[in-house]
Amino acid sequence: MRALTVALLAMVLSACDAGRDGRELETRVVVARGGYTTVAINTEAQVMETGSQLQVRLLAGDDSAIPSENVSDTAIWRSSNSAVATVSDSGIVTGLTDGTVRIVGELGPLRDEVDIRVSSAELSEIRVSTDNALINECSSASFTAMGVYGGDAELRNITGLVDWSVSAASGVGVFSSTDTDGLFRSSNAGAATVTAARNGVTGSTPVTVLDNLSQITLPVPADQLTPSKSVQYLATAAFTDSEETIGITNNATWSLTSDVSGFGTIDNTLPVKGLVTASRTGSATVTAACGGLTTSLAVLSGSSTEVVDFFFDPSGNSIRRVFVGATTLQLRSFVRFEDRTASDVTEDSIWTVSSTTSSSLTLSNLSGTKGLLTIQGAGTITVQADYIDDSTDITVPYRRSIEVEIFSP
Amino acid sequence: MHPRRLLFLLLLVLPAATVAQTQNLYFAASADRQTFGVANSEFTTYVGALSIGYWVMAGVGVELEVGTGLSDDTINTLDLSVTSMLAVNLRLESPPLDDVSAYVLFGASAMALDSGFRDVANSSDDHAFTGIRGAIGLSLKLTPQLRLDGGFTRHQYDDEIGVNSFRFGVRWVMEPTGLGELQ
Repeated sequence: MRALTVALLAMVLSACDAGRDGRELETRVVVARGGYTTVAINTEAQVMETGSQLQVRLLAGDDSAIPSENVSDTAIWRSSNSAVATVSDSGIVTGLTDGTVRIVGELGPLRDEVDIRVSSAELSEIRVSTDNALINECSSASFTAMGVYGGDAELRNITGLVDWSVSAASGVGVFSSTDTDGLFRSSNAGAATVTAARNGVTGSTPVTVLDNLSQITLPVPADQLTPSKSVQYLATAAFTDSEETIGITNNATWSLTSDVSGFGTIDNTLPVKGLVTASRTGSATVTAACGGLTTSLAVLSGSSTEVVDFFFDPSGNSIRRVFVGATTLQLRSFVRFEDRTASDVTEDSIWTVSSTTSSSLTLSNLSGTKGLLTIQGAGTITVQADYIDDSTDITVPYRRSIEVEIFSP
Repeated sequence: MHPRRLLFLLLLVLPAATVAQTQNLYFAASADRQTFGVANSEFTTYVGALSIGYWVMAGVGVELEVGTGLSDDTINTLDLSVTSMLAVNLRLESPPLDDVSAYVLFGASAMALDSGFRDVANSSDDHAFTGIRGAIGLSLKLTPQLRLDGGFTRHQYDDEIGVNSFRFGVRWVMEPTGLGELQ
């Protein structure tokens, strides 16, 4: 019996390759969950140098739009000839020797493929060009890098393979690593040099950012900001020498200020700039800056979503508890909006004691500990909280009271 | 239940019955509610299992377990079902206290699943996994030979796939005064 058991165990463990089947099942679940019906391979280049690496991405989507969801880490990758190039589990192709290889990306029943040529020809020169060497302040310009390989034998587009930079001293703009390859974003007037570099070879071209920004405008978004929700703010620019206006949301520097502590945040990093997420009700100021100009816009969180209720946690009109030693009880106040969402306004409320029978019960109205009841003995206390909705013209506060009775055992 | 699977279970009963007279053997039938965690999604299926065990010493048994899915589940458009399960366990069982014993199982298991997309022809695919498993549970003595078992099992097939399983079943001990009966 023991020998049989050992034999069966060995049979079970050697029966199949768990990892591969697990990955295939995972890809199928991802397809089902995402509702994907098509995939497409996206690559920065179709010719690569021996010894170099190339990121190939598998993008998934449905039939209604161009695939955009990056599923490279989930996909199953295959190389038709691993002597020429290998491909990793995340789609990184490594060129080994001269030749052409077919890279296949599979996601469940969906698949796409691309031919990649591996070449040992050496890069001798990079030619950088742009159609926009002279651009408006705070606007963007695309640059292209063409690599010269094997003397003059071959010219390849290597825009997605080079490292982009701009002469730092000028401060006229940046290339972002999270941005579209070769896209330069200006932020100040001036002249600069754009450089593309790869394998120790560099190529450059000048760019001039005009000093022509006249105004930044922040339109009021259609969506209303409310606590725990996000609203995208956009910035547009007008210029002194033309009637053209352009969006500069991703070129501007954004900030958010408010007298309300913990009001919310604003995203100031690509790829999402100008996205305000409010945590609390109240007012704040959104500011966009570029080219030495700044524009601000007053924003309100919860202004159109009217407060319809003000309530406590614990709920009810009274609390009765046995005194079992010194302790604390945190009372919290909340508002509920028209859309039935609720927000904790404990720190925005004014906490007072309406009546008390004992000095053993004390209530805090200090910032950071508002609503905290300290219990050091038996007694009864009636606590009142007032909340004024700053986002409306209503001056009558919302008010709730709760009686807390602590009795001796 | 798929007729093929029912036949599969019946075929497993027959050889078990032929060795039913052997001392220190025990047999069990159980139903598992298994929840698979795959790619941040879950699907749940019921698996019927039969097992045969042998007490190698007091409170220590080795088991062979086979099973098949009794129900299917769906993640959006993907239908999933367990086609077969095979496992070997080492059982450690405590002495009974008021007819209740605690047990733990350690072992390895293999699982075969079938997946297919609805409305997509020829999209069915088989998947096989091997991994380790561990279980804890309680066993209630109903009669000198009959036990009622209930417990929890965790299967880990690889980094991507884990299975939580709740088991309920009965176990027939051939020789109540044999090795398995710790005092």
